[in-house]
Amino acid sequence: MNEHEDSLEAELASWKPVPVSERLKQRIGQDIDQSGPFRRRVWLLAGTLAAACLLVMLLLRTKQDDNPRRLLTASSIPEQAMEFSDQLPSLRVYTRALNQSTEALDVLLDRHGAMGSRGMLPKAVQQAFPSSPSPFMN
Amino acid sequence: MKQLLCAAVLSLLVPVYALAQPQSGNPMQSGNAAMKYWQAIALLPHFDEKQEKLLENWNTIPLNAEAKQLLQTSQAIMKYLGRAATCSHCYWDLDYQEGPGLLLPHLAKCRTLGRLAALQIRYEFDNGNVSAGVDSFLNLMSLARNAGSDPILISILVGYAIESFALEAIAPYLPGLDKELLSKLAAGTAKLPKIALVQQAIGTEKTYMNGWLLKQMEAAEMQKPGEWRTILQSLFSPDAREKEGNQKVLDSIDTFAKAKQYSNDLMAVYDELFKAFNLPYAEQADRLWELTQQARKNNPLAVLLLPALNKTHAAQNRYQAKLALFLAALAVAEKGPDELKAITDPFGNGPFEYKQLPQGFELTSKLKSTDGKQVSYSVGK
Repeated sequence: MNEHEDSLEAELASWKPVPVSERLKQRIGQDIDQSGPFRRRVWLLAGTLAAACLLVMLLLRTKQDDNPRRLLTASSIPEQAMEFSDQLPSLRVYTRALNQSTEALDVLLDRHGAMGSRGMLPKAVQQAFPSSPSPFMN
Repeated sequence: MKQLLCAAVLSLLVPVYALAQPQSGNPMQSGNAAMKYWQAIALLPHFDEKQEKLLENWNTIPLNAEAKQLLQTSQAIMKYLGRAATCSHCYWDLDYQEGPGLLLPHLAKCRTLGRLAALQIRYEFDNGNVSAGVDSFLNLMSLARNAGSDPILISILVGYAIESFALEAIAPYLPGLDKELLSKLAAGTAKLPKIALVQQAIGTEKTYMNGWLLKQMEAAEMQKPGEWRTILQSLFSPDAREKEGNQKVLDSIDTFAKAKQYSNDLMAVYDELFKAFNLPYAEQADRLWELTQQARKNNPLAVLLLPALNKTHAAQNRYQAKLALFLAALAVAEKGPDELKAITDPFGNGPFEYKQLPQGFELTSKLKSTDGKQVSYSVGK
């Protein structure tokens, strides 16, 4: 048994490495070159996944309204101030009008009632799709 | 195998579908009326200035070709008002957590729907379609009740306004209705949902106006010391005439601790205002006035936040008196003025006053409006 192993080892030891051929070197070089875009794609995919995860996390965080720290961000302050503009039918503007007089409330309700009619929507809303052709025109 | 599976799934689905269908013979659908109203709102045409004027004066305009044209373009809307009236509930899904920024876009539109429907009632009766007129009336009453179903003062007031359109529109035609239709009106009105009460709206004011302010100021202060002022200032009126008043509020509330204290003190005022509605009717208005004035004197946040409760309280009384007068008028139209003996004026100790008119009658309550006149309801042309 030992004798047999010794002869095998001797034969293996007698083998000498053959130098790498130029053709093989060229082929490996080409393969490495071609794997460049693939790697880039892997990185792109990983990046997209990370961005998506980040977006989901952000969305979940913004939904936590009960947390008082989340109720307000620096950018939300002007937004809230905007909501109390009488362009929008908010509880605050109606209450303010009612405190003035019931007639003032009537006038404001009438104004909001006409919004959307006779092009009275605020500009931003009116021009939401300024150049979209109507699909019902044809 | 696939076919067997499909058959099994179908056999399970069929009974589920059958159960989900509205039962024939039951006119009440389980849907949300608000969804029907929104469809009616989406169908509102773009009225030109002339048409808007017509609608504004729906109760006095002649029922000529112009009025007819206005109504013809609104037939689909009327259909949706009818469908909404058969729904079991109305849920507007309002974003209360927005506090004072809560948007109420349906209210102004419901008023427009209300005016259209009131004009429709006039038109139906004028053309002899009395049964359709009664149906239109009940649909409009349903819209009024549903528009005012949220415990928000403005919603409640809009509900009252729409209901007043309905009561005014049908008044000239009541004496001409037969017993069957009068009974249908009484039964249909009794089944309608109720408009929320002003006292319920006080709870909303407490939680979503003052409570919202406190929460927001706390959050702002945690984020950046001193930022609570921005929240407070966002509630100020942009009206230049109120600049001085706004500055006064800011001067009186110069620290966050004070702002918090005033807000907490105001919570107790809302509770007292709510309790005032449990007093006998004659004492309520004075108590509300006293509490509001006291709070405004001692608490600068009260100046900013407390609503005009005296006006809404008066409107609620007027509404309740009008409704009671209408129901009494139905009874008189059906069975004669003797029926009044069995009906007590909710704002007096006895029955309503009765006065015969050339083509109808007038009922009057002891309740006086803010202009000092007694609230009354005239029927007949």
